[in-house]
Amino acid sequence: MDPKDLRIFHLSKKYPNRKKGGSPVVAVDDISLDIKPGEFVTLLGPSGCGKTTTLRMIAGFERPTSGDILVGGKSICSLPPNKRDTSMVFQTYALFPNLNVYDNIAYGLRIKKLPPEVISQKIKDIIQLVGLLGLEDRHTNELSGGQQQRVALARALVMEPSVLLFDEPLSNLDAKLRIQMRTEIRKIQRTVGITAVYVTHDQAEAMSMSDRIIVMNNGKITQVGTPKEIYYHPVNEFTANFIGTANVLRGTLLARHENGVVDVEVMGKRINGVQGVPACKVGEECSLVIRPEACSVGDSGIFEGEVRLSTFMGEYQLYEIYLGGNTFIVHENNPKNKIIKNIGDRAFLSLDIPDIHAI
Amino acid sequence: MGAGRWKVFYSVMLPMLASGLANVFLLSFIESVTDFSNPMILGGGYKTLASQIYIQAIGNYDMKLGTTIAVTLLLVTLIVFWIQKMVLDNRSYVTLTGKASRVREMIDDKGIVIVTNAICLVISFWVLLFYLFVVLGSFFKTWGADYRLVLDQYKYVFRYSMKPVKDTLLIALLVAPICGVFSMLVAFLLVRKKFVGKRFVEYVSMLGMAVPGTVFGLGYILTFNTKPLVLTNTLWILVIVLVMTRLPVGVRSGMSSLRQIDPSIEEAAMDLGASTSKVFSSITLPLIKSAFFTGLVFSFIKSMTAISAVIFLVSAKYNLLTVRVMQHVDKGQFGYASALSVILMIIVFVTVGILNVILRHLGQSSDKNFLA
Repeated sequence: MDPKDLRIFHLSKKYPNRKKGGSPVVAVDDISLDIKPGEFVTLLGPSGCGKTTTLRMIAGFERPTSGDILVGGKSICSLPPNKRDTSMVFQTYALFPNLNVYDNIAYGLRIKKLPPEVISQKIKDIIQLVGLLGLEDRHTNELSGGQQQRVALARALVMEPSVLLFDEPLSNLDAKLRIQMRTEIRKIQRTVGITAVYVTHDQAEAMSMSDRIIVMNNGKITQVGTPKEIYYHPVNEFTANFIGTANVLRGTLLARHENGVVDVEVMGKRINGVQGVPACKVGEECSLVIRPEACSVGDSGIFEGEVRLSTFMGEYQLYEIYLGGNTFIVHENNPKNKIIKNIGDRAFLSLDIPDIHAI
Repeated sequence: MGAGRWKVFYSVMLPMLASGLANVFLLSFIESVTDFSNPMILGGGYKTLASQIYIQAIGNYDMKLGTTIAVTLLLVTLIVFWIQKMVLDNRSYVTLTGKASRVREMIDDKGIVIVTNAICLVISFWVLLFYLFVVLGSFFKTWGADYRLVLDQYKYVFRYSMKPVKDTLLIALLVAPICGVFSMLVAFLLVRKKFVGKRFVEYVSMLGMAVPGTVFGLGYILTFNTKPLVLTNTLWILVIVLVMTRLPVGVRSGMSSLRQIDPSIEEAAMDLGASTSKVFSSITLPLIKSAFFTGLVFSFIKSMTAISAVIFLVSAKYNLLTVRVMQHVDKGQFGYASALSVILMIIVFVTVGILNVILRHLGQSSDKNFLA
């Protein structure tokens, strides 16, 4: 397979407002993307953010209002879905109920009019790859959810498309199966080396599978980066809150330095050397993001507050500390050998400066 | 919450059934007001609009009067149909979901069961009685006078009335597949595609339900009697009329079947390279198979038994079984009429039986040949 790159230029999708004189509904607002060949990219965001609409425009099921989509340098916008070199794995699997597993996978190859021996060999290889040996004669309603998902994947992969598209394919599976399939899909994608665009609202999926995550909200891209970049250096509050849990404190920007380091004041304390490039001017309010697992509750620390909640969660002790008008969430990992504070106790919050991110 | 069974029926079920009841009321109203054959045969002096159209236009050659009555009848049915659409369209379509519904608890209160069973049995018996009398009538020498069982009627019918039988069968066998495929195509276009004039197509395809058969027939004979489209006296005018009057049922049933199919199945087929027509033939049509065959069977039966639209359109070249039955009745030849009717019934039952076997056979597991 020869992986191709996928480039999106100023893509927009607007729906006319049903009411007279109303402004159009903007589902996708001027997004541009550069996806490298063989890269696994996830469009991540809450419901209604435009990620599925974007995917469907790549597949050809929706017509963009403006903008262009290029695969391998060639524009595909004018092509109908059946002429594009993309394959989609659907959320509801969309297997053909009147055909068995073999015929489902063979469908696209037969339309291409490939000779039966070639089809048979390709299907044999793909069934081996996705792990469906022995199930070729089964009908789709005789398969488990995970097996159906594999058939959908096989059916898309066997077409050897330039771009493989996933529309929240794991949302209909139970939690354990989801985790298992995540790893498998990623492994298969790596083995085949195909460019993949994956849509999900599940940030754990996005983090575990992607080379890069594209966070979307209200039709726009809010941030693009590797899972680590997005987690540790969110550019705004929305991204910080959407990925994992975030404590967001309000502070004042005191000074800027080179190398993306600033000094801030928060809750009366001055903290120097905080990482981040906030948009505000010196003297204005900025926000500080601290992840709950990056801090600790104990008898000494930077800030003092009152414990409002203390719950044993197994892997960690969940604290809610009230300090300076904010509720601060802390995950105290491996609580077994630590001193546990109870509700109502006064406690100190300690954290390392590298764990603070200013936005 | 403490309500007795009657109270539940009264306060909960009846209002929910209300729209269903309204629907039944309106449909029965339309059926009765447009009914042609019954008033013609049984009515005697009692005049109905539908029968008067025929009598005035064809019997008295008064086309003006005939068309005037036709327009009056059409107005009545259109108004009623409009009301029905308003009532119906305010309900939501309940589609099949993948979730299993709770099993209905059957009422086994003896009081209710016996009474409702009795009512249903009486009605069924009454209907069977009609058929029984027709069969008997075909064997009696002379109904009302000589009750000897003879085969004379059948001998006569086989000698002189086989052409209408053949013509009817031919026409019905033409109409069924044309109507079946056409209604599935229209249903597919209406449910899945957007195009200019969609509303128009939707209303026109439903016309067959709103327009009385006799009005249809009269309309066709007037339209297709003049150049450039002269179709009277041909086979095709009969086929066209029958397809158009049976279209609404097929389209409705096709549309509801299509609505139950997840659209992403068809999208997946397109995604894998299938053109619209390939998607329709390889994926959609097999999935709406049962709607398709029901449409086939229905239009076949209805074509065999149609009378109101076609009575205007038969000619010296093509006569229909039902019309021939009417002609015998007109002459008081009830024996021949009954014999022909029995033949009609047998043909319908046999053909439906064959179609059902084919349906069951095709409903089995897919072959690899299915896709080619």
